[in-house]
Amino acid sequence: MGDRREARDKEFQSFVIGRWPRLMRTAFLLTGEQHAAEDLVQSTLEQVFVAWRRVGSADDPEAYVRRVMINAHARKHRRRLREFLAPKDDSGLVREVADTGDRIAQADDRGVLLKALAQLPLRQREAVVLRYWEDLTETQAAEAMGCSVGAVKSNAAKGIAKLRAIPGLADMVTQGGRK
Amino acid sequence: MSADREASHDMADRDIALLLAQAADGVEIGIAPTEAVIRGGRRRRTRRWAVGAAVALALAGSTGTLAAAGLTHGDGNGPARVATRPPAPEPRHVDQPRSSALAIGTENDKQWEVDLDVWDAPRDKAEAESQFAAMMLYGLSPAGVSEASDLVGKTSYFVSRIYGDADKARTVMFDTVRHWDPMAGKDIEAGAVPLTGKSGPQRLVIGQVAKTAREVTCRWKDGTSTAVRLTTDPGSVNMGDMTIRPADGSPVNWFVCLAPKDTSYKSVEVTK
Repeated sequence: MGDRREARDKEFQSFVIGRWPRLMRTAFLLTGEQHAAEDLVQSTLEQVFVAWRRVGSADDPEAYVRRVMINAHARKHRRRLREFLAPKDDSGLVREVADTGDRIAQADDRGVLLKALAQLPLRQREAVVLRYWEDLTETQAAEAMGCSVGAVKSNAAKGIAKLRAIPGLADMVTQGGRK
Repeated sequence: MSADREASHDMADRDIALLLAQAADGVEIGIAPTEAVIRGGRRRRTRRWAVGAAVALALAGSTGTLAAAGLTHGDGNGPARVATRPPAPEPRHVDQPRSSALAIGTENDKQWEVDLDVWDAPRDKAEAESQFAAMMLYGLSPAGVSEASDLVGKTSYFVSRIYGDADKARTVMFDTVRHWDPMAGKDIEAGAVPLTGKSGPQRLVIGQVAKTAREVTCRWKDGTSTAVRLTTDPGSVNMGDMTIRPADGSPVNWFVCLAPKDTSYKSVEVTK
């Protein structure tokens, strides 16, 4: 059993090393913070390790990892909301950005986008990141989010619309980014 | 929406994808902390075993000392810790199954393994849809389920067999039930499958028995038989050991027998 476990651990280590950069980037877009992204990826991979016997032999282990990460992110987000945030409605992003538009326009492109993403409702942010960064199909994104394809379409469309409504970001989109 | 406007939106979406890629590059990637991840994964597995042992304790009506004695799970971390107070309610396993190895062995220099995955019953349609999607990721089709909502209130289990490193897990026994059939005395539910591939002699016998069963005898076509007994170490599965054992999330015990080469399954029964 020891040899088998060792072989499995090595296989898992290779998987972690190979996927770490991509997972870190996705987690960074989801969380908007370096340390939160590291925590999210690490806790995701710990959960994947527990199920590796099955996941490692699955046709698409990536799909499982994405789903675990989205679930873990949602749990952390809910906890943070309970701890730190007052209730906020869906239109919070547009209202808040309008109040601070000048400052956002002066920030660098990454900061603008990360701040805008961070203020999207959770499901919209996930849909935007999975569809437009991970480049998943609507079906793959629905699997990762554990929802219907229709919900992915709707959340992605609303998320994109809100991003477009931000003055600083709209300029960047028009120019394809400033840098 | 006009074709021009559609094209314009597509372009804007691509630009947003570009901005996302630029923003994603802002993270410091660093070196993957593989050792820390594996240590963390082992701690999570240890916690799961500890909770499983607490459940066994309640069923047996036994003492904390007895439960702690059976908690070495063989992953190199030593005995798991057991809470002396009743544990907090265990998180349910709706999106991910509880996985247990039932038996591990080698044949022709290849390793084989029989695993059980138990998925907790979803409480509502939303949980059922989530579970159904997760099962699809695993390539699992629950029994008698045509749509996700059929899963509400039902536990699903899947027994899989893995042979050799290249062999993907093959589901060999599965069911989705509102209540597990209560088992007592000499009740037994078993199936025989080939150890390798889809065809060939049915040498691998896998089944469920009552918690009280202490011995199961598998009889083979060549007249020989193999007796498997209740494990004394439910927390670990040793290479080559055929035993009756509990499994995480299952209210019944499980056993695995393997027939010698050149023979196959004839019958099986609880003998003690």
